[in-house]
Amino acid sequence: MKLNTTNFGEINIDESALINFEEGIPGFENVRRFALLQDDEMIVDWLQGIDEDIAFPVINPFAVKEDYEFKIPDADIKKLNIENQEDLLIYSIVVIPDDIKQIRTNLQAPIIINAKIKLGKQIILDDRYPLRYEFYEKVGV
Amino acid sequence: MLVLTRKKGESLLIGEGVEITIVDISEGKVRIAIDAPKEVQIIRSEVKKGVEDENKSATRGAAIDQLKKLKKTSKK
Repeated sequence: MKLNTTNFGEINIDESALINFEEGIPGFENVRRFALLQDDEMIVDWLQGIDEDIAFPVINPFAVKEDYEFKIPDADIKKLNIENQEDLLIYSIVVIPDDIKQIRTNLQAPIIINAKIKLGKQIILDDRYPLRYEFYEKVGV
Repeated sequence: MLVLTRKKGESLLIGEGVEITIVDISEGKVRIAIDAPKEVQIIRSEVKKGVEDENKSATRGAAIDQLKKLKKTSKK
């Protein structure tokens, strides 16, 4: 299918690769289907909404915080039908402020995608990790 | 919305498996004990609100051109 997007213009989406977020994403509960756009030019990938034209920049959180680790709550393991850890894609949402030096990501609420069945959820952890984790020093030139 | 009055030590039930007990009340704070099945997630409201706000900020992608200049070393 073809999709008109603000960020990327008209793009072709493989419908079979769409990821379902059955509860949406907090703040965007009505957007249930997303395409994962891998971006070779940037440090982030993108979760592009299908039902609404929004795009979340996302990053591999383990790349910006090497000792990041968390346990997926049992409720979420059930909801996402997780059987093998190898099926999972883990991302965290990035905020790109006007001052790029304050680029940050949300380590408190990672995005878990069961790639095998194309099901995703932004899970909310306890507050061991920050909502706003700045990582410019890891990627700045 | 249902509003109930409870004293210290009293509790209430929500649905089949959730019990909320008022453990202590002092200096404007209430300590609450929650007994719930482990598949019921309990999150403080302001944490959820924080995530919602941060998500909204994330969709306002400013400085995309600057993003292109960042090192790609961090990609998986």
